[in-house]
Amino acid sequence: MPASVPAPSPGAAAVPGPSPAGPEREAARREAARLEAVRRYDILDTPPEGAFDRVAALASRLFDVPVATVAIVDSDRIWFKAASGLDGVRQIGRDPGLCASAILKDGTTVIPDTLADPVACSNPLVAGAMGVRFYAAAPITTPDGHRLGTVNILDTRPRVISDDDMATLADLAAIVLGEMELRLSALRAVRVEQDRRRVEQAARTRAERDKAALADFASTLQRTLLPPALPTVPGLELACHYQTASPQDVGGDFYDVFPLSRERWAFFLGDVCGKGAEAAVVTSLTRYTLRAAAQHHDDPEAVLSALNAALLLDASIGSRFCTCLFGFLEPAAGAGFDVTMASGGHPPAYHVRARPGGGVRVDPVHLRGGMLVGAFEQAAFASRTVHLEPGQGLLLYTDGLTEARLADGTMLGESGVADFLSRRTGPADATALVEDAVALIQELPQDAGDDVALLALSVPPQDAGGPGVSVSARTSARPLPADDAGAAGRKD
Amino acid sequence: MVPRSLSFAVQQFDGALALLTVTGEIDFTTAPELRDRALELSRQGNLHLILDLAPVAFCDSSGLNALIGILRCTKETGGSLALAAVPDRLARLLDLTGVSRLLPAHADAAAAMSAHGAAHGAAADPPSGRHLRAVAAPQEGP
Repeated sequence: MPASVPAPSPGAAAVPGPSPAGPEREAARREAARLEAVRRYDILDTPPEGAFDRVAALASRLFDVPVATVAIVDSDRIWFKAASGLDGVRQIGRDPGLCASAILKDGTTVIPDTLADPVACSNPLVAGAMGVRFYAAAPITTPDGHRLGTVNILDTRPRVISDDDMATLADLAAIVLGEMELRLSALRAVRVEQDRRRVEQAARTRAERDKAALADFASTLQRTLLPPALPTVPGLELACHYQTASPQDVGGDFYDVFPLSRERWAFFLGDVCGKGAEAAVVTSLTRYTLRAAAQHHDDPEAVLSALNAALLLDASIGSRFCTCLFGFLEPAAGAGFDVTMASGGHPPAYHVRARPGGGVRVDPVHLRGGMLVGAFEQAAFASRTVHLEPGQGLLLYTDGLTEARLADGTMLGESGVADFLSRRTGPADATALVEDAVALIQELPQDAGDDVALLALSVPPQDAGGPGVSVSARTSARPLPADDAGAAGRKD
Repeated sequence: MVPRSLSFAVQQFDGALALLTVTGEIDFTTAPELRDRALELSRQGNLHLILDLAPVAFCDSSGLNALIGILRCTKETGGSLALAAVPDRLARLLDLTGVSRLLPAHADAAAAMSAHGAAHGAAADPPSGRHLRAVAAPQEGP
C-alpha cells in the first residue's frame, strides 16, 4: 500500500459538483419566460369575451360538470378569462394541487378523486366550502411551448373520464389558444396602426413647428430688411406698400426714406435681380450702402456710382445687381419740394398732378441712360430735378406692379399703370395713390406672384391748412389679405 | 406648369465667332440654359458671340440677367457679344436698364454678322462661307 497518498491540491476539493440550485434556476427561468408569454398576449384583467365564454359553457355541457373555466396563470394568481358556474369569481390564489400543478406538465391532468391526491387534497377549492372532488385540465400551450393556463372542468363528486374526453378537453384548450392568437394579431394590427398614427402625428407636429419657426425667422429677417417706419417729413405726405410673393420670401424689393439734415431727406426704391436669400443679401448691402453714400454725396448719380462700386467689390462680382431710383428731397423756395432723382435702370416714377377741374395728369419722370447698378464698372446714371407743387405727388414702384398680369394674360405695363392713374378720380395724395395701386394689383385675376414695393410722396394742397404731417405705411406678405397687412395710422 | 427648355443651333466661323440661334421662351427656369450654352461656346474659344433671338417668343428680366452674365464673360476674355432680332419686351428692358449702350442689337442675324465683320475685319462672311461648320445642339425632350 503506498505510504502516502498525495495530498489533494488546495483547489481540488473546491471543484463543485452539479449545483443543487441548477434545476431550481432552470425552473425560475422557465417560469419567467412563461410569464413573459402571458404578458405578450395581454389578456389578464380584460373584460369577458364571447369566444372564451362559449368554450367554458361548452366544456360544462359536454362533460356535464357544474364548473368549467378558462384560466390564465399569473405570477401569484389564477385569473379566469371565462368561468361557467363560478358565480362571479374572477380569480383565485395560485395554490398547488389543481391549475397551478396542471400547467407544470404537458398533456391533460386528471384527478379522479381529489381527496385521494396527496397535493390536491389540501387545495382550498377541495378543502374549502366548494368541496371539489374531481378535477381535469388541459394546458393552453403556445407554439413556442409556454403553458399560459388551462381549460378546467371541476365536479363535486369523483369521476372517471375516458381518453376521448381527455382529447376533447385538449381540443378545447387548443381552441382557446387559437382565439388568443387571433386576438393577439388583432391587437398587434391595432398597435401598429396606433404607432403609425403616433409617428405621423409627431412628424406633423414637428413639421408644423418647423414651419412656424421658419416663418417667424423669415418675417424677423424681413423686418430687418425693411425700414421700421417712414420718417416724418414736415410738409410732405409719405405712403408705402411692400408685399412679398410669400411669407417665407424675404424679397428683393427695397425702399427707404431717411433724414440727412433738418432740411434734407433722401429716398430710394429698387429691385434686386433674383429671388430668395441670395437677393436678400444684395438688398441688405444695397440699403446700407445707399444710406451711407447719401451722407457723402450731394449728387444722386454719385450715390448710385458708389453703390455700383460697392456691389462690384462683392465676392460674387457681376452676378449681384439691382435697378434703383435714388433721390434727395428739399423744401422748395416758394412752396412744395424739389426732388432730385437719379435712375439706375429703373422704370420711371410717375409725377401725378391734380387738374384744376378734377382728375389728375400723369407724367413718367424719364431718366434715360441710367444703367442698372452693380453689373458694369462703366455704368452711367442719369438724373434730373422735379418740382413737386402743393397738390402733386410722385409714385415709385417696382416691376411687380408693371408686370402684373391682366385677365387676357398680357402685362399691365408702364402704359397700363399710367392709364390707371390718369383715370382715377381721387386726390393725388400719397396715401390715396398707394391704396389705389394696391387695389389695382389685388383686383387683377392672376396673382402677381412677384414682390411689389410702392413708395409715394406728395405735397398736400395749400388750402389743406398749412404744412401737414402725414405718414402711412403698408407692408404685407402674401397670402394675408390687405386689411390685415398692418396699415399704420395716418397722422393728419 | 409644363417643363420647357430652350433649344440651340450653333454656327461657328473663322475669327473665333459663333452664331447661337435660340429657340423657346427665356424665363426664370430656362435662362440658366442660355447662359450655360453661351459660356460653353465662349470657353471653347469663340471669343465673339452673336445671339440670334428671332425664334424667341418670350423673354423676361431673367433673360436680361443671363445676357448680362454672358456680356461680362465675353468682355473679360477680350471678345464681344451682339444680339440679333431682339424681342420687343427685351428691347425695352435693355433700354430701360441702359444695357443697350453696351450690347449692340441688330435687326437680324445677317445685319449682326456684317456689323461684326465691319468692326473686326474679315472672317465674318455671310453664313454660307466654305468655313462654315454647323453644329446642332441636342434637342431635349420634355
